[in-house]
Amino acid sequence: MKTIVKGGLVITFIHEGYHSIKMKYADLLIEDGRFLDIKEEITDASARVVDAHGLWVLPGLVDVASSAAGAVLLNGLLPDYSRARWQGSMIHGRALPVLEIASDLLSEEEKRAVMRYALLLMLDGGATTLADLTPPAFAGALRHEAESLGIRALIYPERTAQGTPAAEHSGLLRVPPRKGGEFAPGDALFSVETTSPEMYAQARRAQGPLLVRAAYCEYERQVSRMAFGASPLEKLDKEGLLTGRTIVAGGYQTDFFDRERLRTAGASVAMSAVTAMQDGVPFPIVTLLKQDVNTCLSTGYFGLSMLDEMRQAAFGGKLESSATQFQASDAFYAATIAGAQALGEQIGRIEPGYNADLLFVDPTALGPHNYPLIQLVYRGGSRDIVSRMVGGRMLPLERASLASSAAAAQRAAQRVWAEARKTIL
Amino acid sequence: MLPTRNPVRARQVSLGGVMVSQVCFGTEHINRSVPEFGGDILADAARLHGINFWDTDNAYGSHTQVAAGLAQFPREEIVITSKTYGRSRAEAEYDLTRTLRELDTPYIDIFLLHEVAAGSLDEKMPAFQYILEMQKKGFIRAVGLSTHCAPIISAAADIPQVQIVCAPFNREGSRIEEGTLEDMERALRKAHARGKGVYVIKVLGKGELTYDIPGALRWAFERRDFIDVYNLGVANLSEARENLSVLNALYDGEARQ
Repeated sequence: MKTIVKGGLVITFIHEGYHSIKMKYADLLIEDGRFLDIKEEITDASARVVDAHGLWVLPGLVDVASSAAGAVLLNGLLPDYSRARWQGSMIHGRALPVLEIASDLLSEEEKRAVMRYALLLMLDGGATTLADLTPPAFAGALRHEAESLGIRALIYPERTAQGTPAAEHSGLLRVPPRKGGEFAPGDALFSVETTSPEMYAQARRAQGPLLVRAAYCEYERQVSRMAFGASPLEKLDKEGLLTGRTIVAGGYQTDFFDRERLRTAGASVAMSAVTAMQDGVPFPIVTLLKQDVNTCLSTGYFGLSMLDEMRQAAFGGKLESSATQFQASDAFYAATIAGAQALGEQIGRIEPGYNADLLFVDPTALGPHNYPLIQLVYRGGSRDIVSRMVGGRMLPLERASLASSAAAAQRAAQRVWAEARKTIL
Repeated sequence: MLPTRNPVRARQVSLGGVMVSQVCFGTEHINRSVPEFGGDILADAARLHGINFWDTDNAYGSHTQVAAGLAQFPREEIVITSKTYGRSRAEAEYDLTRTLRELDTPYIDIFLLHEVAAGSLDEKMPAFQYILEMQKKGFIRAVGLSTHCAPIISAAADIPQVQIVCAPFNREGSRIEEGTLEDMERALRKAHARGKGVYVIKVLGKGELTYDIPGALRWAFERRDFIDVYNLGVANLSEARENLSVLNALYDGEARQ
């Protein structure tokens, strides 16, 4: 089945010597889920036509290291201030324990309700591809719902060993030895301080992208130094796991040598600007880019909107450095091209041969048109995305289905919170 | 109160036999606007300030804005440079064909081998031969090359068919990939002495010298005995005006003396 997207303003990065933005009023011919041709006028009587006149047509956003289950179940429960003051760990003190409760407590149907709601929010926020760090018990539910909705989901069940460090709110660190645990090809490592020697060995033998949370907070850095005498990224490097296929979810806490390790390994970093801003940790995206580290954007435990991530990244980049060094187009690059590069997928660009993943933006509410990426990144919201396409297939997103899904997820979350209040919340 | 008449206008100079504005609008940064808005910026650069020389390349992503600006004038009033990274005839043909189609023009004024890398001039000769043939057929008015390497500028100066050379040139010597700043100056002087049109890019070091824009521009403008045109990448008209004002002040100051 062929599809022609007609008459939109196509906005994409091109790769011909430069990574340049190109904007052009053009038709797109799509066949078998991929772009076949892009030119001023395409006619084909056998093709279905999608009318994009008056719309901006952009590549779908790539969420490189989402935490879909956590973002739904922990929404609003994570600290709205810097953890540094109490040396605690959001992950070990709240995220992991709550997700463990949810994994044990919720039925498969409830898990699907949680994941469906998460995916709808991600579509709402502009993502058409996600690579998710998934609690293993939620992986089946996520796969089922992603297939049902048609979003491109790469699922990485994240594994932990026994002996997870426990949060000590007093400020003391308790780091028991890690042992056991399992890791299969296609899994993710949760983090260096939750990985056993056996898991490192198994991870070295695996192929494909290796996702791992690392350099994500000061607490983790201290635990890593205490347990291994090395920073988290140094530990990964010593284990032979910092390579061109590694995607580090985090990267907020690095020093020069950590970044050199990332650069020389050709590893990528996936940062959540929303996480950094809300959690009060550094957001060194310009520092990483200046050191030639492929740095992309992802959501995290604090939200599921890539539009939000782009906006916060553009703000955060300016706070970190001078205003000229991180712009709206850089945020768009980090949310498309850089993510595609990290995952090794033909996505994030409107170009023949690439997967036909598109966002259709109605710019009516964004003001008179001049600089679309500035207008979309700083002022745009999910209301402005009127349609989405993944692999050549239009994905309807109706407010009614979002509302009913929200209600089902709410019921599941309340069951988890009731249990978690006994020991954690 | 905003001025209703703007006196800042670019001088017209000869670049390898093609009459152009002394300041060239580098279009690399207007690719972020919708085509019609970017086209209006370029058109106003020509109307208000006499900047009728626009530099583009498909790799910049700005063909659509250039096309929108070009459509507002009789073709002969605007001078456009575009380029090819091609080495073979086929690659050069692909780029030239696309350039003409995307700019919606029957000819391109200046077509260059783009960013010829160290030691790669010989392997780009098939593309250059194709460009020369297309020049004879009237699709191109003037030909040449751009490079970040002083030895290649020097070698190009010895090629009779090369009419125009383009290279980075700023007081820090940044963005020069082979040779020193002094080597580049010698090479550009040689090219100019051989009758080549010389235009320079990266006068502000691709943003590195923006802490002192007037100083960086003055340094380059003081070397206009061997530089014909300054290709300055700008994102809007106010930046173009600022650059042009510095250049014109230099000339006006000398005229008063």
